[in-house]
Amino acid sequence: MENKIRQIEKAPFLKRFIIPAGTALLGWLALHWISENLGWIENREVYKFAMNTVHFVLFFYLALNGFFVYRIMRMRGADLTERIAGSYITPLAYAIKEIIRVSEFFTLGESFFYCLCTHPVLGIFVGQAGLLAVSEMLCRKYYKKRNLYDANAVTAGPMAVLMVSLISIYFFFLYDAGGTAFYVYGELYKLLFR
Amino acid sequence: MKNVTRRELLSMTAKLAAGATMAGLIPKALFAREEKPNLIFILTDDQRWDHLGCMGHPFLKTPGMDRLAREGVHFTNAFCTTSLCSPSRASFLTGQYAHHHGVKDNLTVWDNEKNRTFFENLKEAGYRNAFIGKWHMPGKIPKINSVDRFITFDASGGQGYYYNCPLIIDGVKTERPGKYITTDLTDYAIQFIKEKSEKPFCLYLSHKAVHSPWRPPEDLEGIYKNEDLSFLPKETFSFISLLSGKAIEGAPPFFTTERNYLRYCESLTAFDRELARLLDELDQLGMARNTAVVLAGDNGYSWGEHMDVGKRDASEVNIRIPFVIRYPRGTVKPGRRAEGMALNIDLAPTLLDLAGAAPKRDCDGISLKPVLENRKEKVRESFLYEYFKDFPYNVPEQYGVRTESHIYMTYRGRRKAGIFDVKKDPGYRNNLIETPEGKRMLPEMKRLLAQYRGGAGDGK
Repeated sequence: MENKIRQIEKAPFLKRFIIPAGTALLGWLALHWISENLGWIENREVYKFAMNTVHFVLFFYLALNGFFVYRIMRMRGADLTERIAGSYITPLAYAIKEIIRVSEFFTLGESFFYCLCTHPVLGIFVGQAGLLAVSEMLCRKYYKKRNLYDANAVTAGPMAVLMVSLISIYFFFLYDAGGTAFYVYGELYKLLFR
Repeated sequence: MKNVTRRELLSMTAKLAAGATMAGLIPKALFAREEKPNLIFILTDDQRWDHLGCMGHPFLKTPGMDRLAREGVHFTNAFCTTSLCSPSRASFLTGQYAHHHGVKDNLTVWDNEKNRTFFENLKEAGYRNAFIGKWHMPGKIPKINSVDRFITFDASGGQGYYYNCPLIIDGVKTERPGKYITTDLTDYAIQFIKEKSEKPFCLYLSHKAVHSPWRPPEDLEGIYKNEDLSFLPKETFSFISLLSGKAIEGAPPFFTTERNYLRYCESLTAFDRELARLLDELDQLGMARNTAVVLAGDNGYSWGEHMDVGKRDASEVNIRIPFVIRYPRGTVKPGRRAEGMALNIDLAPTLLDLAGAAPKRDCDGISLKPVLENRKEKVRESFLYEYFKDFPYNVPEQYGVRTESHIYMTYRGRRKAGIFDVKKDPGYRNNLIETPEGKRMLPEMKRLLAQYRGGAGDGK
């Protein structure tokens, strides 16, 4: 997946990494803050509409974050490691926030293991991997169309990542409505902590 | 008139009685040993205490449960002592608090050697016993002592499926293609009560309904889709996560809270239909009068209260359970509501008391038979609530004491203890612990908590 794109200059670190990843992070923080501070709305319907909207946006913001961050960084000449790191900064911040939150009830080890839980955190992480793979292939296709990319747009690497991501998402959320995945996670917890 | 001596009078009475008996004038039952009652315990999963038509639900129709309440005693102040499936189930079976029977969460294993269920006492009293349905206690499914028929399932970690759920029938795994589980389990229950036997029976029918992922049978799908849900709590919104108890950050919004709630009600209606079928069957078999039918839920459920969908804390909606006993032969003034506090741990002593079996000596619960007979209004003043850590659910371990008017809660971790007036403040928003009222109550609450927990205090 290394840069085989001609005429794409490598922008300064601030522009190719800090600004896209940082903007995504700040956006999430702002949305999260809003979601926590809507209790003042007295009108039931308005409150519900506001909560539904902000949480809907929040979910898709988190879930799709990497897709956009990755592409922007790609177009600004960031290398693969930077693109992956930048795309995962917001989900990682979300995971850290969750670790801090659940440490009220769990030990430190359990709090970290919580992030492997399918629903809140791991789901975001594996979903993100699939989106990065799609994003990479779309970027290649975009440049290939403009005669700026030599190799195939679709290659085994991103396809494999995408497949693993899709299978994981299916197992985590769709198969048995996630019940079996949750059971496996529980068994793993018992092995490690009981 | 000739004087009659006492001896002559007794002799005459005896002759008259014998003659009348021979002539069939005096019911044989007066002289015969009283027939033992049949016992049926029906357990629903996650059913809220207020989700019966007769509790005034805005649209839910439950003629089966309403009938049971109308013909029996409805304990409208009934609670579970731990609001979680496995611990509560073990409490029903043993009559013990969770710290006593040891099934503290959905991961701790049921100790089949240590734990005695009420089935053992019933067996000794001459009963034939069946356990049909959801076992859902951690570890390998045991061979429960003294149970003659054991039908359960282990799919999806013991939660089972609503459709096509394979059953383990007396140890043999059997596929059930096309079967809807609530109906399938009721079929087996009816088959059991129809079996001819000289012995009385005890049937424990433990449903999957109405646990998530809610799925009604096809003919009931969508029956409530046009109902107005504005009665749900103000803090409810469409994307409350089951796991974080808060938002959907990270949890996919596949289904909204409203959609889930309607499916919950539809699945409950399916259960009610099967309950009505079972009650009809008892009528047809002529067994209704001599059969005690107990209906209860394992714990309550929040549908938006505290911005939560679930059951894992001491909120009123989570700890209150439906609890109805219909026993025509042994009930005075049927159709009444009993306001005294009844608990899941009361099931075992109540069934044993009704059966005239030896009581369980290690029981924490109290028989509710005196309430059925209208000899007592209540059997307790307070009880212990306990919730142990259940990873990965975001709820701190907690212990509390619930009296008729207040609840005192203590938590492991950073959360502060609280005293709440459950009548005036069922949402637990106004912590009284720092108020003069709270300070006055605190010593007694602490004493009770320590007493219930065997001196273990508030769990800090």
